[in-house]
Amino acid sequence: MRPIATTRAATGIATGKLAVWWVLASEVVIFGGLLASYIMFRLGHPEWADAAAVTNTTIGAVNTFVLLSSSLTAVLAHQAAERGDGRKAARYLYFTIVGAATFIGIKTYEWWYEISHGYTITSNGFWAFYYSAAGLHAFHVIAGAVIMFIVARDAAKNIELHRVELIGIYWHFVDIVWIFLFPLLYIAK
Amino acid sequence: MAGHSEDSGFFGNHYVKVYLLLLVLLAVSIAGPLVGERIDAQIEIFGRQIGVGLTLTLITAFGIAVWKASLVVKHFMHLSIERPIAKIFLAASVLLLALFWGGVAPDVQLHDGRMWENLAAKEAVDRGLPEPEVHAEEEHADEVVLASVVPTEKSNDNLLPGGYNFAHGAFWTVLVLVAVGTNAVAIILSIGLLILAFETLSHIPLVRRMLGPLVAIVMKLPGVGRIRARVAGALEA
Repeated sequence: MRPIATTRAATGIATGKLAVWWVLASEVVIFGGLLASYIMFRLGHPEWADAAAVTNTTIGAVNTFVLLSSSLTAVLAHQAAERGDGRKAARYLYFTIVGAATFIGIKTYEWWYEISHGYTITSNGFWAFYYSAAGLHAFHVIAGAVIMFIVARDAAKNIELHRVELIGIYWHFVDIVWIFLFPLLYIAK
Repeated sequence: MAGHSEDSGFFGNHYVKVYLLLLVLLAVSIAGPLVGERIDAQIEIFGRQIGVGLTLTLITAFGIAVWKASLVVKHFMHLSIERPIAKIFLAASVLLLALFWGGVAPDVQLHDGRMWENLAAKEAVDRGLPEPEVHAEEEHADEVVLASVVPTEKSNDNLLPGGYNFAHGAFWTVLVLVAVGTNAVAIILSIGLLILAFETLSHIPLVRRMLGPLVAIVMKLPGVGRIRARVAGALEA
């Protein structure tokens, strides 16, 4: 017998998928609240421009490219899963995990550089927001990569292929959060 | 996924085309602000002077971010062909967010309101800005700031929009709404996850034997049998 999440669809959407949308709805409030607060404070504190000027736009752009590319591989995994090709779906998911690892690797270097130059979470309001928002996002990237690995392992054996779409939806949301973080933290100097 | 199944080679794939468009937009969102910061020109719109460079920066950085996000939502997440309930969930969250923003913005974004001023925020701005003359008219220099935001005068105006009490009332109302709202989501999700975990664990014979007596007690509780019959009916349907 398969879990209820994959067999019941009282609302017209499989319960598992509905749960993913539900999680994302709560994530909208969590990330949205954080970003809205940042924008409000940033508009009230012109002196943050000095701190914002320190962030490295090139690194932010490269990480945006990495996440957009990982979103492509995630949706290609979904496409392969829909066609019943679990092995191909798993292969694309592994590419996505490589994207996640690359993103975290770049972020680690970036943070190491900034912290070693004295820009820490307690330096001022800008850096507090910078580390909180980017840190929470990075945590989501790591969690997504771990779940994706579990899904990919099953997908390679053609088991529970619908989960490829579920983790894909979550991953695209993580991508969207970064799409907004990039101009806020790296471009608006 | 409907309508996206036909593809002719890697670059003929619908998703690859969307991805390439996203990369072009990424390039524009980086180049736009670089050009924008070099333009000093101003134009007059409705009697207000608007910086051309700043406008270009805002449109290319944030306008394109919205465009990119909408492409991902529509083409990668397939929200446009999803059932209405998913859209309702997301719309409710965005509404809650707008409520939070609207309620808090007058208090956070501004450092002066009707009958109140935020001394701590003003001092932080003064400390951070390079011009030393900003400190010249410091009449609060010797005062100890006990609260970061202080009402300047007691008056009924404080209850109006922009007033000290109004802004704080709105802030705490929104804070409570957000706290209750986000916790409700977490609690309901946890209950759902617990049910799924029990349902999955119950397929393991050892767990089934251990949980057996507990399940028997729960089943005897009033109303449980009726709910179970309904769920079973829904599952069969």
